[in-house]
Amino acid sequence: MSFFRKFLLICLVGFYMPSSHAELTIEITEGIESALPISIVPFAMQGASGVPVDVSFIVDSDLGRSGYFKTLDKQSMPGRPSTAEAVQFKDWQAIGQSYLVIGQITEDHGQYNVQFQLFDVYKGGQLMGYRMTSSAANLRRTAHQISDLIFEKLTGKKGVFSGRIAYITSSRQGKQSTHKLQISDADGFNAQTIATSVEPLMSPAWSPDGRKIAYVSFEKKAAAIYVQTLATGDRARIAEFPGINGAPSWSPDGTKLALTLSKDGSPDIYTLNLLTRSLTKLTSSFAIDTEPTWSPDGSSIVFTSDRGGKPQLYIMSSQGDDQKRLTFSGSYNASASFSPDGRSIAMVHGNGSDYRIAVMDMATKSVNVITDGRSDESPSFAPNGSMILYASQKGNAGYLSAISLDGKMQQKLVFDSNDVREPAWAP
Amino acid sequence: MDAEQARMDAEQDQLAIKTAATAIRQKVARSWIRPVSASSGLKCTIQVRLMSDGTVIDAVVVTSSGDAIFDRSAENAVHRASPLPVPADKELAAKEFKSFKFLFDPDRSR
Repeated sequence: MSFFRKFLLICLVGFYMPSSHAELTIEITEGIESALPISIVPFAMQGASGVPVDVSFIVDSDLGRSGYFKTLDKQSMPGRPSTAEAVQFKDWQAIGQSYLVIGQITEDHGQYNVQFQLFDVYKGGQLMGYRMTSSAANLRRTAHQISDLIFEKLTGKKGVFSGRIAYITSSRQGKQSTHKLQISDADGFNAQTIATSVEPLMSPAWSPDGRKIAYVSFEKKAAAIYVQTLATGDRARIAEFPGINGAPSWSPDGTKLALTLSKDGSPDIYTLNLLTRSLTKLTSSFAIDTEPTWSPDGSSIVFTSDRGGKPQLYIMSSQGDDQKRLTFSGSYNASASFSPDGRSIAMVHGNGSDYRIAVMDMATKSVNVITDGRSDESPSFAPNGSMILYASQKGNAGYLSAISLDGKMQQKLVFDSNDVREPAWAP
Repeated sequence: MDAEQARMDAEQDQLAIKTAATAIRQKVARSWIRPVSASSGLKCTIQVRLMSDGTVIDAVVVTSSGDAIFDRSAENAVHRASPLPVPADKELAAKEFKSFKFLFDPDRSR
């Protein structure tokens, strides 16, 4: 080998090994979409009489139901620490846990001090720690608040667990039917009855400030729309026209209701100014126009119409201008619910004999079916946009489920009644 | 040492480094649970220190994305992937992979 060739090779080798001078950088451009592994260790109880509510269990089910977290079952936990000193982070790392929640509940003269800490398992550091005081009656709410705090810390989105839902239940005893408008926690517990009637109640709609509910009642044998203030129980009858009075929907500023009236013949969409009681007619087709819902910015209203032959969703300005068809896939699209950011709408999507919940991206108009039932209805977005509540019918029974937006996480809610319909998530 | 031998050794080392870097990239990517709330345009750099068997000693954000949740997801990915598949040659592993950086940049894949 000539000297020259040797020299060249040495040079080449030198150029081939930049890493001996500069530090290596590895680029990561891909990741996985997966639920975050988190362990909620059962909270330690201190005090005489025990705790009436299993707080850590509620936190565990809230986070698991959201679809964003995969919680670890108690049997698989390498320990049950309740203080930071007792946590062996290595044990939790070894079983692939990213986050750990521990807590203690202490009873003090009927009051409960609930303390919890959230840890980053790999760093071994505390991400969050709170101490809260609660009455026995409020422990469930406290548990949901803990879920909200953890959810927001780890996902950057507001939690919805301490929120409330409204819905309609029906039961029958002999020839007597009882219909109730109820509100409960987002997991179906703590139900309260807002209105009761032997005639049907329908279409509960929360005011944007969460203080009032508009609904349809047939208590006078004909449909009328009422607005009830939750704190006082006061209610006002705001629409009682001949024929249909249905499907109330609040404008985002709370000053108007969009509704369906058939006083002129066929059902049309109107807006009713709640202060002046003035009525504005937005649609006047010979077809059925119903189920109005406002976009979150208040500029437009989406509604269901069969003016094209089959029920489909249409959109118009909130003054009724520029009416155009929005859905084209499937033989049936109805019951629209806007996501809080206005970027998508949930709807009932019918194809053949199946009615399922679908989500449409407003920008691309692509439709994604997320449930697999035969008769799913009444979708309602959670206020953080991460979940949808909906009803399913099976024979004479009806039940509610919550589903994550990607359809991966679904949970049936448990109620006393076996006929629950028309859920509406409070803002 | 003969130059030819040196060249072959160097080439072999380069191949081992490249193979290990690819394996490390894949393992960390599989361990990276991307945050659902992340807006586009986020990226961060993580400095890691390894033991010669690839066990992660620490993973620290050196250039933050500005989003704590994104940064934490990247740190967690490196930890979850521990031990990283470094070259079997301990000397080489120690030399090349004792300390290096990860750039988490999801927008590069689009």
